[in-house]
Amino acid sequence: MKEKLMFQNAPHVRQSESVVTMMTDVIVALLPIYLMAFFYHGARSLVLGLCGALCCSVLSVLGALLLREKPVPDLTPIITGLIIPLLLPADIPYYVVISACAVAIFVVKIPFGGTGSNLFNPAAVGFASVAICWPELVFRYPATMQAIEIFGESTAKIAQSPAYSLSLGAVPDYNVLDMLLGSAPGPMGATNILVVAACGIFLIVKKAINWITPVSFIVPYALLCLLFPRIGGSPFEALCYELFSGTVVFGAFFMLTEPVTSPKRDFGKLMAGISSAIVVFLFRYFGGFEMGFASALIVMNVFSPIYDAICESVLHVSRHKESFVASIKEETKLRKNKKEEEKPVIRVIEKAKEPEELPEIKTEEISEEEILPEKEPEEIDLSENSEEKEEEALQL
Amino acid sequence: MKSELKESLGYIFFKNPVLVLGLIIGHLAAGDTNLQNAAALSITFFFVTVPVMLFASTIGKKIPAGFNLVCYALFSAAMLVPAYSLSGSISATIFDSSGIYPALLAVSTVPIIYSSKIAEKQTPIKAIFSGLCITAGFIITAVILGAAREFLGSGSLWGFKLADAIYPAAKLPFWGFILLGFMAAIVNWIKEIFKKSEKGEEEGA
Repeated sequence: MKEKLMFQNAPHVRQSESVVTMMTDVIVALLPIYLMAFFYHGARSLVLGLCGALCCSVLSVLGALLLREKPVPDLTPIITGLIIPLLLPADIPYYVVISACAVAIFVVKIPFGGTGSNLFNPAAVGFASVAICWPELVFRYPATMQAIEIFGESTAKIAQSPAYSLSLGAVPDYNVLDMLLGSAPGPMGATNILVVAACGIFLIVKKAINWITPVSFIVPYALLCLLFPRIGGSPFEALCYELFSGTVVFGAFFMLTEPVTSPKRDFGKLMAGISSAIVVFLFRYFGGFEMGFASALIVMNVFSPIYDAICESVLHVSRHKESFVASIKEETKLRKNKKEEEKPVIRVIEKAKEPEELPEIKTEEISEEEILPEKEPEEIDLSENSEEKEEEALQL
Repeated sequence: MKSELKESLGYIFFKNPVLVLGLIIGHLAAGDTNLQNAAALSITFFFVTVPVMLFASTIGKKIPAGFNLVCYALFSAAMLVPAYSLSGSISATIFDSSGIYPALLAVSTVPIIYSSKIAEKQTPIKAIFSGLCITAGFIITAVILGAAREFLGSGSLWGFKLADAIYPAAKLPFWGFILLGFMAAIVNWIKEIFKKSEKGEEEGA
């Protein structure tokens, strides 16, 4: 069995591409977002990215050494380390990034068995942990188009993010075009919606991610935002503000599609996308934090194995459809036969109950000659074999 | 006698009620956020374990089966009164500031399971010794966890400020669970080392 099948952890890639090429595509897709962050906030954003990637890589090697395993060259810690700073403001202190990376690797990844075995999205948990620890740093965004000092405390001007305005029920001060181009304040990687969407499409084209997950998330989320807008004005404007604020688009392409924590089958991905959209909407609508995506994603990660199990059971039935249908037919036949066997008995009883339908008995007079003479019973001699028969009976 | 003594001492580390047996994890994760809370929980644990185990070893056998568990729970609940007064003598507020968790210890699995499964089969002296060892195991866990969370969460120990807060989320219940998980992993790791060394000694012999 083991000779025929390959046993390995997720992600399971069936194309000619390997896990390494897939992860390289993701890193390549993250680079333009870093370039945009560099354009809006200066070199600190790049240093933060480097810090995150380096920190996650070193910690994963340390974790492997602690588990007495050989450190495997793996690009997933680099991706985690690159995603975490993109969810944070550009002026975030370095210790916050390091702390988020440490939680992502030492709490989420290593204890569960390393790459491919983690239950939750490491970047989401890392971000959520620092959001709880230092909310005053994580949700304080610098205004765009100003260079932030690489080291030391930031002196950048602080601005209110559109997501915060929406959480208060107010219309953001920025127009939709500003938000599309990334000039609105917010997490340094999540505000450049056009670039993020382009990078997401690149990943879909390269088949590094499946299109079902982001589409099944964004479409229901947009519908929910249209149905229940948080701000007044035109529904389309409200929808644009909801979609382009926070980490919704970035998360849909880069976090929700993480191959380890997302369902493996297309139908599971569809279910996960729709349910995530509902949960993210509820978190943003009723939650205390303006960034509800990471928290909602952690909650939804729990359901991924359940979606997989549902898909597997449905697929099992569909694969063995013929035998399944045949077995059902056999059962129905057996039931029919049983019924048929039972039916005549019921009819006879019913007929017996009705005396009128009973057939009439014809009687004819018979002469005495026609009656056969009764034979006299032959005399049996019991004396010959009686002893033998008795012996046989005793033996029995 | 020696094996019984070894078994009782095992409750301190290798059969630790929290880290190995996984009892009352929730109480510690949610309630043990600083050293003062750890003290309140430890005092309460002592009173709901040792006297109840003594009670079980002396009178427990005479109580009809099925009714004894109720008696132990009631007796441990009554033990909250001395626990409260002793905590108050250390600091007036430590019992109250710990919330509902010390009181919940009285009706937790600890007095019921240890009394019915262990103390009922032991003599009173052995029951007291086992109870003390179980309490020692709990106190070690509670103190380490409380101190770590207080230092990480607010940079202080027993209310005295030592440094700035390193990781404020350490005070939250989910970090309590994570820290307890790490502590349990360390205990299991040490346990495995001991097992291996014992095996090596046996093979050498």
